[in-house]
Amino acid sequence: MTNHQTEIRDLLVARATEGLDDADAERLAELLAEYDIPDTDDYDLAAAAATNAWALRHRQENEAAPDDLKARLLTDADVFFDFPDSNVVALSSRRQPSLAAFIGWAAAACLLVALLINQPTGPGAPALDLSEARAQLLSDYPDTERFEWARPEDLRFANVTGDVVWNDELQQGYMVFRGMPVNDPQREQYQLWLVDATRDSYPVDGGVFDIPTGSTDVVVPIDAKLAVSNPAAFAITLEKPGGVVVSEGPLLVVASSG
Amino acid sequence: MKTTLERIAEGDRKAVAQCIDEYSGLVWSLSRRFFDNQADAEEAVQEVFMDLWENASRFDRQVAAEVTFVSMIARRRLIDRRRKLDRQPRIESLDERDEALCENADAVLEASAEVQNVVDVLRTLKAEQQEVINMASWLGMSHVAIAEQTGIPLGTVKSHIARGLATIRDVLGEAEPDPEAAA
Repeated sequence: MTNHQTEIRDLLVARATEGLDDADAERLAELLAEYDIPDTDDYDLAAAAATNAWALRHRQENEAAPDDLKARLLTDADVFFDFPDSNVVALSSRRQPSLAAFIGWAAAACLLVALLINQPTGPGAPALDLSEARAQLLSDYPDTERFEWARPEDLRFANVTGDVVWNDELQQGYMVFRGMPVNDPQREQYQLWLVDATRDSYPVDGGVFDIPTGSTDVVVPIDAKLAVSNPAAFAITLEKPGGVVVSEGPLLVVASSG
Repeated sequence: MKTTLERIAEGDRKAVAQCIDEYSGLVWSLSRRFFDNQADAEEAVQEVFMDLWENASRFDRQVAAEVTFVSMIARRRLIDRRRKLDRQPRIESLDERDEALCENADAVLEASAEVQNVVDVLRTLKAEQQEVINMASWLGMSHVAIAEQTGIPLGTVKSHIARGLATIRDVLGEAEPDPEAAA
């Protein structure tokens, strides 16, 4: 190996493992240009692969990211990608999750889901655009599952019918509501929760939504904040505007696969 | 089957949340190794994910596994940020930490055949070389600090790291499925 090859290698290895100061970074760029050598990620990838291997061997030291940090990452993503909102409002103001409150809620959710009896209803005629998207999901993707809202126990929601369609592969779905009471978005909003049996009983936040005055059939796209695998149930709660990270319920409307 | 970063590169909104779900534990664990201060660690994680989204289209599964690419982006940002903060890497044990263990970081590492391959490759290296690679990649120590701590001459430290990384580099991308075959 020639002197310049050794110097380039050492600089690339140093960049991958400890970083370069400005002078060394300039020197590396000069050498690569002078000898017409492409700058590759080879050593950086190898150092990353070694890091992952050690992380696996030291797995007991790995930590879960704090929930509020994950919430900030979701907000960062909305800003970074400039995601347009539909009629589902992104959760922008979040409070610290309370595990104790969640555990109580999750236990109640599991019990309710287990006790639920499905109430079959027929398909309706929801709003045009979203209705078409929902119909297309059902027709183009045979694996799309459909869950009907069970008869709610709360008398205020006794007349609610409709369904949920969900495609696991696309992570896409829609809810249809008929007879859902109108909410005042200044005071409270509906929030969807997806119960993923593979996710340690933590329900996934499906976003908040409103039922406008004068609406009959309402189609709401599902905006799951995390990937969901074979959801066992979909549950609606009524929360403060913007939604919550941990809901204390009650579950107003539920659709389950059981 | 497209990977999470491939879906992000195509503008799939759902994949962004999935990316956070899959990799936040790994990136957070790496960041905590670089920074004692929680605020620094959290800011670094936010910067890493910005970098990931910006660079999603650069990911090529023929070159390396997605989890390797994610760690590369993370390490670059973490190294750069630490240099700017001019702080020493933390090398003490994390055993005392009262934090939830990260099951999703473990899952994403265990699911990668490439990570398993690299674990095997590391085992084939001489003990001294393994130790040096561990100090440089996992503990984040500088080459000079490794030489001082081990008593190995600096030139040998650099040589061990370069050869070890070259050996690892040779197995990257091999374990990743053919996109056409997987489709």
